[in-house]
Order: sequence, then C-alpha cells, then structure tokens
Amino acid sequence: MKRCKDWTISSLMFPTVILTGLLTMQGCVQITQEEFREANTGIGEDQIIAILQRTSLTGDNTEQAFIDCITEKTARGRDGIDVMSNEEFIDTFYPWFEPRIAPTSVKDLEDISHNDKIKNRMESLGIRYLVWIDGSSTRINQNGSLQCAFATGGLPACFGFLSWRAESLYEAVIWDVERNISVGKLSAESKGMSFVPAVVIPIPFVARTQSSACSALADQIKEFIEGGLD
Amino acid sequence: MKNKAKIFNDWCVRATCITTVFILWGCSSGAHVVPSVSIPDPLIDPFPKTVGIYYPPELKEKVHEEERARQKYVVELGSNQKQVFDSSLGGLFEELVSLESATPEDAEVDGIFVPEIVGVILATPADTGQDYYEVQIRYRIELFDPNGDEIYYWVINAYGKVHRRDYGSVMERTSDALQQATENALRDASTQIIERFNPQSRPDVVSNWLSTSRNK
Repeated sequence: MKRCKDWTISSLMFPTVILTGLLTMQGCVQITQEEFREANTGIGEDQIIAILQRTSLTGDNTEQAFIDCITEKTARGRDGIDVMSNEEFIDTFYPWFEPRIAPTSVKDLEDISHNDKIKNRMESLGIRYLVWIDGSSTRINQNGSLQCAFATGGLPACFGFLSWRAESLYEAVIWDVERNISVGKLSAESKGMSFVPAVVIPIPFVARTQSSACSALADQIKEFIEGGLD
Repeated sequence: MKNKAKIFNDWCVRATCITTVFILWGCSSGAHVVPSVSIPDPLIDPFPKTVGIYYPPELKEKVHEEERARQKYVVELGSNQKQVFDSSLGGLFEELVSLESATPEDAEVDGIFVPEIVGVILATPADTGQDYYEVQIRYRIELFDPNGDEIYYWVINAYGKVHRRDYGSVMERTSDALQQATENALRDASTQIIERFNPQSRPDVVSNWLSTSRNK
C-alpha cells in the first residue's frame, strides 16, 4: 500500500531522467560529398591556411558555430593543418575582408594583393590558402506537435510527437594566395530525420546534420590540400 | 538509499521548475544591449592631413529605445562612437584631433568631421520571420573646411546581422544576439567610412580637398 502511495510523478523523475540520458541519441544521418579540383595543391611546413566565413549582407550567412567547428576540426589530428581563424584573419587584414568589401573572386583578390601592405602581411604570416565557407543548415517538413503544461502538483509535463527533416549543405571554395588562382571546390551535404516523442518527458532523437557535415568537410579540406601534389 | 533518491527527486523537481521559469522569462523579455565593439587599425596608407572631429553630446550619449509587443529594447550606442571614428578617420588621416566645438577658432586642422546618428532599426526573427537578428544604424557625417563651410556630407547605412542559431536553440539569447549584430553594424560603419575615401567611391569635391594643402 505504501509503495503505491510513493508512486507519484515526482518519484518517476529519477528513472525518467536517467532513461532520457540513455535514449537521447543521434538520429540517422546520410552524407554526400563532392570534390571539384581545378589545380594541384600542397602546403609547406611553414605555411598556413585561413578558414573564412563567406558573409552576405542580403542573403543567408553560414552559422558562426559551423565556422568554429570546421576551424577546430581542420587543425586537429595527425593530418591537421595550421589554421588562422576567420576572426583573427579579418582583424589582421581590416578592412579588406569585411563582409561589405571582401573579395568575391580571385580577380578581386589579385586586385587587392597589389597593395603592398596586404601582400607583405600575407607573406609574413605564411598564408597559402584561403578557404571560403558558405552554406547553412535548414529544418524542413516539420510535422506533429508537442504540448507542455503544468500537471497536478505544479510539475511541467509534455505530450505529443514532433518530427522534422534537417538538411545541412556547406561548400568550401579554396583559393591559392601564392598563385592567385582558385584550386577547387568541395561540398558536404548531410540529411537526417529527427523526432521527439513525449510522454511527460520529451525524449529527443536528433539527427546532428551540421556536426556531420562539419566533420566531413574538414576531412575533405585536409585531404584536398595535402593530397594534391604540387 | 531511499533518502538519496528522494533528494535527487526533489532536486529534479526544483531544476525543472527553475528551467520553466527561465524559459518563460526568456520569452517575455526584450533586450538591453551595451555593445563593446573592437575595431582594429586599418591596413591602409593615410592621407597626409590633420583633421578634427567633433562628437556632439547627442552622439556621445545616444541610447536607442523602442517598445513593441510589450517588449522593451534598449541599445546604448553612444559609448562606442569614439571607437568607430577613431579607427576609421584615425586610419585614413595622418592625425586626428578631437575637438570641443564644431567651429573651433584656433584649431590647426585641414577639415572637421561632425557625425550624427539619424536613425536606428532593430529587427528580430519574430519581426521578420527570417533567421537573423539585424541592426541598422544610419549616420550623417559632415565634413567642414577650417572656416566652417561644408565641403560634403555622407549618409551611411551601417548594417549588422547574426544568425539566430548561434544564440541558443531553445532559449534564444536575444540581448547577446542584438549586441553582436550591433557590434557588426558599428564595424560596418567604420568600414564604409574608409571605403568612401576610395578613389573610385569619393566625389570630386572630396578628391579636391584631399589634394589641397592647408594655408598656414
């Protein structure tokens, strides 16, 4: 009898929280990668690359979190490449790579490289490649609903089922600063289905498409730059 | 053991309630933004001129306030204006002097800049249905010769935006997002000021002023 009395929403919390932790796992993610090479590549030991966010004042911008992720993952590992972050690069070359006036083509880069101050700084820092990242993650086909309310006793409880399809599409355009040419374009597309069933506690099964695209593109960048014989 | 489970259960209940309160609070609040922009020294060759700048009190103390849908938005812009103009004009000209008046009698300068903010627009994803927090600051910047005659004026629409996803997926940090968007707009203002002195962008009257030397 006593056991029945103790069987309240409150006493369910402990196992539910543990169960949520165990069940919060990734949904399935499918990745497609493409590579278009325009020229041979290679990087010296004293050279670095800069990973830059392609920003547009009118269109969509890549999330800062993705730029941070790809910068970190490209620099990491045994095959990691020394990377200058977007923030550090645009500060070092201010104002030439600000969103409003940043070069949008290799021709534009060549034009501003005639400025000795820019050219000398690029050389002194050993910047060999500029990697422009563009793209974003979107959530499409959201279905179902999830409603949360305060149950008896003032405890919040959620009920329902929510699902959505997430798509992350990112591309990297790589410019060789030394030769003033575009050497290639890489892309990673990641798709996945996420769902959140909720009976009192919502249990999310989230497809981490952005994180998968980040890992895939970072590996591609390293392989592309180091893999093409100069 | 039963005691520990009870403590844990109580803790879970409290944590859930506190989280709910925070979610509700996050939903209902506007934003109070105090930007702190950092603009590096520009990588450009300065013009061989000494110019003055007068910061009107309305600019130095500029606070933008607006209220909509029972949410109040406050952006303190004044304290960052010195950084915007010191960086841009300080990089464009060999020497930049801060003036106490727009019409000084004894200042040895080639020209005097007087900036003002004539408009501010804030937009959140809730307003636009887009994924961005946006800030637009409209400046009017006048350039006078040492006699107080206007040489030219520029109207600059400085713009900054940030992606909502970088500021939380459940509880969006509106103040943080608007702060970064404001800082991006201030940086854009500085960039545009520099860009307006580009030989392809500047008007003839400004080119003529740049090519003349001061009568001492």
